[in-house]
Amino acid sequence: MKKTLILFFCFIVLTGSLYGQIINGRFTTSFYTFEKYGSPKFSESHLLAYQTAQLDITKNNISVSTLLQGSKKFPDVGNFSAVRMYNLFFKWRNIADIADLTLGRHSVFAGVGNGLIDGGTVKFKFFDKAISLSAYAGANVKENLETHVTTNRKDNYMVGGQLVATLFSDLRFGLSYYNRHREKISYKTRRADSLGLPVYRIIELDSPAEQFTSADVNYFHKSLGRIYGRFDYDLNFEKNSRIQFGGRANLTSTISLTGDYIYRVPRISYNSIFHVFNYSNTTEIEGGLEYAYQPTLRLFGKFANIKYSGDNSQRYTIGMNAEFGSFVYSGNTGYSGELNAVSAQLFYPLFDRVLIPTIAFSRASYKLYKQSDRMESFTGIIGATVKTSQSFSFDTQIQWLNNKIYRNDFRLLFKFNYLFSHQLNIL
Amino acid sequence: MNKRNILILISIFIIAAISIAMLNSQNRQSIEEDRSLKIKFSHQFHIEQGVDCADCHTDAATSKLSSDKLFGNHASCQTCHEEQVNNDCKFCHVKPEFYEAFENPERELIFSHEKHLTMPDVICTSCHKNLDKVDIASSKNLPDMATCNTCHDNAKATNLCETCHTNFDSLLPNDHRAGNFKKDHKNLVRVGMMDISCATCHDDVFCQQCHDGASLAKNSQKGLMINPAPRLTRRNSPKMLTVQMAHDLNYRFTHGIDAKAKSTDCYTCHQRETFCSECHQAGGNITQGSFKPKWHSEIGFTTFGVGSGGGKHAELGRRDIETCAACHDANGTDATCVKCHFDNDGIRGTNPKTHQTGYMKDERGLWHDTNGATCYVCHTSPNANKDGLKAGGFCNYCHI
Repeated sequence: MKKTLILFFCFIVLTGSLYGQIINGRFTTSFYTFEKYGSPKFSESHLLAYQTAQLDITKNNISVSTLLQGSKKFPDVGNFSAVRMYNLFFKWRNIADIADLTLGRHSVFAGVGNGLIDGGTVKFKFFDKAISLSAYAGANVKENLETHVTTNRKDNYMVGGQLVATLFSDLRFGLSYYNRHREKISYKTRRADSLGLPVYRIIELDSPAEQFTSADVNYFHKSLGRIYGRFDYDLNFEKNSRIQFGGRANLTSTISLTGDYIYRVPRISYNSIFHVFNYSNTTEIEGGLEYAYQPTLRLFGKFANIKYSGDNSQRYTIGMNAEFGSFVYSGNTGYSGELNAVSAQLFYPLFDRVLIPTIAFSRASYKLYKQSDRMESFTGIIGATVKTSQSFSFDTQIQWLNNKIYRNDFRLLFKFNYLFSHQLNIL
Repeated sequence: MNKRNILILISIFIIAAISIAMLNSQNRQSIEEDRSLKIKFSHQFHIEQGVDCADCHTDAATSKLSSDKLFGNHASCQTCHEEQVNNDCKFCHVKPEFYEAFENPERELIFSHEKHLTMPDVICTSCHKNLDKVDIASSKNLPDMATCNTCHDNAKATNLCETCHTNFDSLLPNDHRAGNFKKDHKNLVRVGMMDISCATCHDDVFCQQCHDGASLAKNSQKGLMINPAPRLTRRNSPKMLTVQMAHDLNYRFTHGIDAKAKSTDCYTCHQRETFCSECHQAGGNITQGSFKPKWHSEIGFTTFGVGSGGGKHAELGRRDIETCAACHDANGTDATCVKCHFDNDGIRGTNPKTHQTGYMKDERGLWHDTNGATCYVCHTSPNANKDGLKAGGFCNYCHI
């Protein structure tokens, strides 16, 4: 399979290069140092190094894109070093003026279904794009994004599709379907036999599955606001999975009300041990108020109540977003835990945006559950982005953590970017 | 000074700095100058007379920067209006006794007139549209993004943001600044807005930058402390590193509250079967002694025996089973639950109650078709499998 992949890569890069007119690329080199404790009293310093390469080659409606990342750890212990392939896909747009085709490793975002697949997506667009129909199928990608393509496609796949219709201006309706199976690893374990004596058994499970269909509707009005509704149905369990509606009402040009209602059934894969237990649903109601003092400065506050079986949680947030920074206070009480947290960040461009210094901090005082101790956590960040030219930029950051685990932990992050774009003019 | 006061001071400093920065940005967004108050001029008239743009904007052909001042001046006017320029200030200037040059507006673009004018098929009006219909030119006659994108479509010319823009923050649409846009944007994407508006700025793989738990640095090495996880793969964004982080560094310690409070749909980005259990399962990257909730060890957390009700853990499981699964469903391998919830004899009522009354009574279920059904993890009697004796053992639960 590796050979096939390399051949595929060579083919598409070669064909892309031969006929390509635009080539865009970005190389990013990053270093991150940190202190890691092997025991409560002993620590050692580590350095992580990352090299990212991104390449897009495009000629008219045909393009080839890839994003790869290599990583290395110093000292080189454990199993950290890896090459990750985020994507590698061939895309042909506007085939016969109605279809787009994507082949290779690529992301899917189609209603209830989303994920990364090694496979294909085809999207048809009709009536001046008022209606689109997409379908995708492929193997799941391992979570470490290794370059290997999954071989056990029978138990490890994702298929689905989405129909989107613009019923009239700014009213859009979506209908989607998603089906995913993920391979389970067989394992050996000890069980009791009918006499209660221990015996070893090999447990081999069929792949757990998720199969949903979903409907969405979204209406957007430039001045009045927006309404959104969603309904998910679990086809495997044959019951409603999620019902949601909410939106934003612009009371005036500067004041908006927001609201959301979500009823959700815990999302447990079919054939998982957890779906056999008794469990209840959660209901969440959230309301908020936003005030746009100026286009670039917004103040907001939100409050939510989450209802569980026999208990409740409350969540609240107030904050501001400005052009060059933000400040947020958030809190939780009730079943979910107790939290009081503030976070702020500020950046400001200097010297015609050649230098952009950054300062940020976050502090949290929290109890993860009722009986636990209250803990404190603080993070401070100071850094800068230096953009020396259109093609080169540097990022650097010093981070400081202070909490129950990291008493006094300084970390350094450095990133170097090189961007290029060339008109090949081969043809 | 204690820690609390230091934090208050830092907060005040940052709020003050944001306010000052915001006021500065407001000052920068000055109202466009009304040039008709300064000069009498008609583009429409001059174009109708056959005057070429380059006759007045003489420096345009060699201009390499968007900040270059390219207005016509006395010298260019004199080529046709020598007498008037030399003798009658009122011929052009509205207030000749108090005239001043046009303000050169701040430009946040990288742009070369020279480069574009040497391209075939590109003339001034390709970008500066409708000049033949106005007297005084304004920002309305500058090209919009759609005009630029007719060529900068990543096929004829690159559409990387950095190609033209120097100030990315000013490009941020106002709805992105709304308090809950990070939470709300999924609603737009789900109904296909990606193609219509998002794609103006974001490419095919933009979503992947956040919606992919694997882009966080991972380490399979077992140890007491987990590695930090900075996001390093953000691709087309020139923003600051802090902005790039989906979660702040503290989030590692407080994320459990969000997970239980349903503040985020964690599984949109993180794979449910593996992500949580990578750290939380026995033998994961954190020590069970330090991170195992204390209430797991409390009296009454688990009660044994038929009719005992299961104790506190059963109550919590009913309340939020996803939290239980986060630690105990290590890719399905030997889940902690089955250590108690097993049924070795297949006789109803002799094992810890797991299912509600009538559980899957009217459903065919997976167990009829495959030995890989999860039912057979707990129901271990010899007959509890697809090929076992009919109406015996496990089957008696329904087929009495």
